[in-house]
Amino acid sequence: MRIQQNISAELEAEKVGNIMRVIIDRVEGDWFIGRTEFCSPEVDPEVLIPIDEELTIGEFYDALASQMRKSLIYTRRQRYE
Amino acid sequence: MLTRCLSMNKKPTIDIITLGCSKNLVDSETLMGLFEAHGYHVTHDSDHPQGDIAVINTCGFIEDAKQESIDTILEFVQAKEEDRLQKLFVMGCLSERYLADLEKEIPEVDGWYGKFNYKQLLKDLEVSGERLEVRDYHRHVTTPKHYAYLKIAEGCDRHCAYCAIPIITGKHQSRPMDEILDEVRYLVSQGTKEFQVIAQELTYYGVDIDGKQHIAELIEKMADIEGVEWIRLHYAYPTHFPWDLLRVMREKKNVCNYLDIALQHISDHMLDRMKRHVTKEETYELIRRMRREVPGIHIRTTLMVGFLVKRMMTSVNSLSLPIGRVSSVWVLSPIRKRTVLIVLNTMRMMFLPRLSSSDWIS
Repeated sequence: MRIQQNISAELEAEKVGNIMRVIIDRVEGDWFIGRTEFCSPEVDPEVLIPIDEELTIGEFYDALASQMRKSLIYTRRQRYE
Repeated sequence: MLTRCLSMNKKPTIDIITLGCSKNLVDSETLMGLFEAHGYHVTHDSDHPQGDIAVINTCGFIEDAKQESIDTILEFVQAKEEDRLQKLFVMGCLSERYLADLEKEIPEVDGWYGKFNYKQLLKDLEVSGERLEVRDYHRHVTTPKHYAYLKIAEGCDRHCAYCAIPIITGKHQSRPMDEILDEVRYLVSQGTKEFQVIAQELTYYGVDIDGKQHIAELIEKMADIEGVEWIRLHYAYPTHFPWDLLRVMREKKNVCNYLDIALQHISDHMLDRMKRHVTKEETYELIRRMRREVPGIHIRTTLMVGFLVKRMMTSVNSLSLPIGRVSSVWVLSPIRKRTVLIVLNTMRMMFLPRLSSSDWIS
């Protein structure tokens, strides 16, 4: 399982630098939690965007995959659609 | 309390607790919509009874899920015995499969319903009173309003040797395409943007109606509905894969490059024993073609490392093929003691565009 988690993190890290369309699902702590088209709710890795961005739950945004921590991609908003 | 509610002509509050998969969730949402249309206040997935009546929608698939369902029923039985709950009803896959045993073992439950007759509960509660015609899709969506699960069929005509789903859900029954499209339009009007299309066997959609697979046609028509932003496909089957679906995925920008398809194994011997009706080479060709026709596709899948215990080592070895790096692994419990053991559910193989076929074909 641990090996797989590392592979998962490695695969996700490869997306850093890409701009992806993201839908915002909810807020948790200091983060908006969203998903790309490659992520189904509840089962796949999610995308985190800092809460200081002005985003709305249920809306789509273009987001830049900016860094990788553990198995999640952290992104910042690039532009509003 | 319930008697008082009814005598005062006040509708009781109902807790609906959903266990199991997203197909179950849609059933719960349908029942919630039905109750709400008749004036009931309904809550969903509360940890403890909040209302007068509780309905537990159970799962009967794997051992852990069955145990969770039974534990939940017993927890609510206790609440009833402590007068924190007036009536307890059970529905779903567990009671569909084991009705006679459950009725005998847990007599404290006030009524048992299965996978298909759960709407009868409303009639049983309202002996008199007006009953409204409520379309199934006027359900109470419990997910965030921007996405919803969309169940297009129920049941499964496949008879994989390890799987209990056909026993529980019966033969494949496709919903009429017009009804599904009406539901999509309705949900869009309610704010839904993303649709998680689900069925036990997605790619079989339509075969029970006219002998032909209509999944590509359905998804294409869905994609053309204004306001549908994302369509995501869950639970495809590798045998007789409808190739036209790949064209729709490629051409329609609102169909996600994402497919959930259960491959289960890659050894011809094991695939045969599992009665999957697909071979190793056909599986390889399927993946090659998906990657060729839908560049960048992300595939989520399940794999079993063992089927019969005595074959386990063989099957583990045969799985060591490089069909792409797997992003994460879930371990499921044994389905049935001694016969089906060690189920390893591997989710979400990401077939990245940069991997050429030579990277993964042995």
